[in-house]
Amino acid sequence: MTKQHVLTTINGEQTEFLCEPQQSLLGALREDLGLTGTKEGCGTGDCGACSVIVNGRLTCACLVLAVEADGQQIETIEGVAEPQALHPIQQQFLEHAALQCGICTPGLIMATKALLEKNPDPSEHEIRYWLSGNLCRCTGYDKIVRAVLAAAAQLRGAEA
Amino acid sequence: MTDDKVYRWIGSSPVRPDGIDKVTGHAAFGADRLLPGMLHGLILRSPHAHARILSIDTSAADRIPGVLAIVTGTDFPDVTAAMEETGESQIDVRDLARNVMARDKALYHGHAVAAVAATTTTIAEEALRAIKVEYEPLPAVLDIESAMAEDAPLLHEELRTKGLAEMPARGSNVAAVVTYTRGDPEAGFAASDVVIEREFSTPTVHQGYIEPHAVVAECRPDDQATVWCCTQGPFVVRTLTSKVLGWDVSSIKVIPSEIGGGFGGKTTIYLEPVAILLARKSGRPVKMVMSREEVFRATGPTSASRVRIKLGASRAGKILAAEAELKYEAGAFKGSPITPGCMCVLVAYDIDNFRITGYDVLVNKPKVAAYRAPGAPMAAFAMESMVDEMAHRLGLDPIRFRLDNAVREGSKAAYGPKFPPIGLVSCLEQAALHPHYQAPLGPNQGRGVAVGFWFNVGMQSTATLNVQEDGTATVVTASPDIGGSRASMALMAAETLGIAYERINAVVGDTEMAGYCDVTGGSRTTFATGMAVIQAARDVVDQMRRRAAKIWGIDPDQVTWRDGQAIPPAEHATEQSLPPLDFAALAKSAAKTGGSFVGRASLTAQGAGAGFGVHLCDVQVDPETGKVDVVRYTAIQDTGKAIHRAYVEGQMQGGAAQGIGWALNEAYVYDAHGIMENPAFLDYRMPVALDLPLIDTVIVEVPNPAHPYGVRGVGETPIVPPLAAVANAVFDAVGVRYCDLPLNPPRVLSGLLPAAG
Amino acid sequence: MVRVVLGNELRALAGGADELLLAATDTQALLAELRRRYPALADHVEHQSAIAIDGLIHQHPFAEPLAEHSEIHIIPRITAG
Ligand code: FES
Ligand code: FES
Repeated sequence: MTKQHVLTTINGEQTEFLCEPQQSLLGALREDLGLTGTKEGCGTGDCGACSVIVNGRLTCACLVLAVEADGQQIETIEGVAEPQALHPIQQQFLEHAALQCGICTPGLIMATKALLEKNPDPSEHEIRYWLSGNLCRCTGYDKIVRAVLAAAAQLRGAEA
Repeated sequence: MTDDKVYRWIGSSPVRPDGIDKVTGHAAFGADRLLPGMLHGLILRSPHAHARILSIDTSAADRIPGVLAIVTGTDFPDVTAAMEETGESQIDVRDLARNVMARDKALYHGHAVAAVAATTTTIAEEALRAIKVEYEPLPAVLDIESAMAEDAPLLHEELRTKGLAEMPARGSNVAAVVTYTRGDPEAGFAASDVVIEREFSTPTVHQGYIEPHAVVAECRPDDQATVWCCTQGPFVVRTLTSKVLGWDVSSIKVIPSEIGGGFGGKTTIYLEPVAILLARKSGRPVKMVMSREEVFRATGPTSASRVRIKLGASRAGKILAAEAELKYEAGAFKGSPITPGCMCVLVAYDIDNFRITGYDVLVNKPKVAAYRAPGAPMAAFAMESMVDEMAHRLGLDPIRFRLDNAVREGSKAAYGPKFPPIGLVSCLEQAALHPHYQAPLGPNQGRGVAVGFWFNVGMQSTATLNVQEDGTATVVTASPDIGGSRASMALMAAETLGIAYERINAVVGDTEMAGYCDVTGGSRTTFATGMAVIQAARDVVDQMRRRAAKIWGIDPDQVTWRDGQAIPPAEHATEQSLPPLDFAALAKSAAKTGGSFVGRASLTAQGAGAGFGVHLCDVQVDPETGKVDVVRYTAIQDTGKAIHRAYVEGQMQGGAAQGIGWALNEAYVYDAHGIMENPAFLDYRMPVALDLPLIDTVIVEVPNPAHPYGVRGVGETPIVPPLAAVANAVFDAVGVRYCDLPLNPPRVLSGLLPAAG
Repeated sequence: MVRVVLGNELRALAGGADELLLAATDTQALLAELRRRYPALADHVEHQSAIAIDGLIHQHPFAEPLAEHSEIHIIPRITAG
């Protein structure tokens, strides 16, 4: 099968790759680009472990074809931290013990980032609603919700 | 009773040593390993729930360019030995091998029958389609009743029921019958003022870890294999894989990746021996990652159950007799958690007369695997529902009624021995006092209480503590970290050494670099591996005391260790000639004073402390749709000493959430042919953030006398109470006693309709 | 003498006895004594059982010390979930 050429921007960096036409963006990120921070929990759009941000929109990378990434702006978990500092969301996830096994964490951090960019001061209910596409089987979500509230407060404080 | 010793580190909640890797995407999980030249392996699975395999023709698949290896059952040694000792206990290696790859019969829909390795997944998929398998479909048994029927088709013709007075002559789908009795149940019921009896059922449910099983295997020409996989126990993978392949354990090295949840489901093997054989045949590394659908169809679930309970009590509120009959589905091979189910069903109560009977029942469904407190939640669902009903019938407060019958130190557990110090009474008292229990309820709301229990286990653990010359230390164990155990190991090491938590790193080693550890499971890691870490730290302290004595030229017995320092005896200290030597100073000078410090400990931990918990649940039932919302939830548990408080709370919250999912929505839905119809997270509905409230926790710390810091273990107990806590809350809200899970809207609504009409 | 209390499920392996009084100062000696008198029960204990000594569960006992009047229960080994 002839491979397709894709030119895209990942975490601010121009990236080129070849992919099979039926390959998912998730597959291209993980297998071809070595960006394995984005996880696969289901491959059917039901768990959110593969959450990335495409042109500012929270997206399941398993539901997007790799060829569709052509010309888009893609953010993955690998691009969230600064070289010398964690992002406040990452920091608050750690401080609130919002992860146990951590497989859902990259997806949840991306979902939180997308949420807080849209809504810097979400209520508990809004957080739960927004994060409902991201399954976590370990934590019962309590500490995740608290971490998101704290991250939102920190980010608002930083902007003020 | 709580432990009020003052600790510097234990009981705090610092950030975990592996935290940064986990929030930046750098932590490598099972599917994250990429090797040059790596092939992709896929498994062909049975389309029938029960069928004889007449022939497998792989020749067409073999000819596809890019297909480099194919294996079927006959590539595996025909393991005939039945029970074999493994590290932990006896397992049936023959069953294990036949579950990994079917030989003559496919026993459930999704049972592996062949595997291929190819240069791309697309080619591997094409190869699977090209393999021709000839099946003779057989009638399938899909539930407990039909499996136990006189003329039921048999899964294993040679299987004879264990636990009967005499070895039966005929085959059966009942692998074992378990009984426990005490006193005279008939007399107890005769003496009771109120006797109630009901039957309960729970469906097949899955552990639901978000990370599918994944493995990468390499095999050298001299048959030395390296396996990288997500597992709860690398040594157990090594043992089981070696048994299935008939290889020496030393020819297999297992490197545990980070693990994306296990809950018991990753204490066994599925892919590992297959990947090794494919790697061996192809001479290339082979990666195999299950799809979510495969995870549902071929791994993990826990038993569907039927539990009948009869309970007799006096008007004054004393339980006088109980009878429990438990039937658990084992799946296609024997070994449901029926024994712990029977041991747990009445365990919270002091009852003089009882009879417990359990049946391990084979059905054409995937072989069940351990799931968090294996066997206990279904038993507790039935018993705690009945206890609730009895309290209601007697007009007693459900916590008061439980307190009047609760086991305490010295009570005889239903499974025999007297309890050492336990915290059930403390938990019940805390529940009664909790603001949640007093809070008013709104319309259509109800409140439920339920108790849960798990044994917690010990088993083997080894720890090494390497002291670095900069005064830091690295703890090495082979206990995979699933919920922050690196942090608890580091906390216990810091406390024992008397140095700062930040100066300790904790890592998870492989089967060559770390000493033997059993699985991370059974709520044993902080207890047992923790005990090894504490001993290894004490070993270092001992070495440092002796080193200081040597430096000072005094007797080692004169040196004490306090707050991370070797302290000389008073007479030397006052002379000011010998200032204390701290951990960092001793570490720094180690090369010159006799070599670096390495602590080690290896043990079989004994005396795991039983963990009781009490959950409070408020629900709101929508009378129009039957939808149940959990609106408030509190988990109270005796965890023994909580080492890392936030992760202890997290275990309690996570267990509660899993139990709530079991209660409200989760279930395998099968068609008439034994094919699961909902093998995806969309239809197998696990709780999402919107389904749950904040989960309040109360940690009760009745110290376990067998652990240096009083640890019991925490992970499993919290999944036990929610099933009944939710059902009891629904009863309180709508006055209907639901005995069959899940309490999804259609079921709840169907219960409401007759009441309304 | 330690007292070994047998549940109904184990009595057949000990000739129907519900309790055994044995001289043993640790679990290794206890197992040897069981092996001498009730080999089937000893097999069961060695391969499938945990032992509760005065209420404390020993999942894989080897030579755990026993007190003069220890009460021993033989219970199934619990596996890890
Ligand atoms: S992997 Fe994409 S949603 Fe689950
Ligand atoms: S922390 Fe394990 S799935 Fe969320």
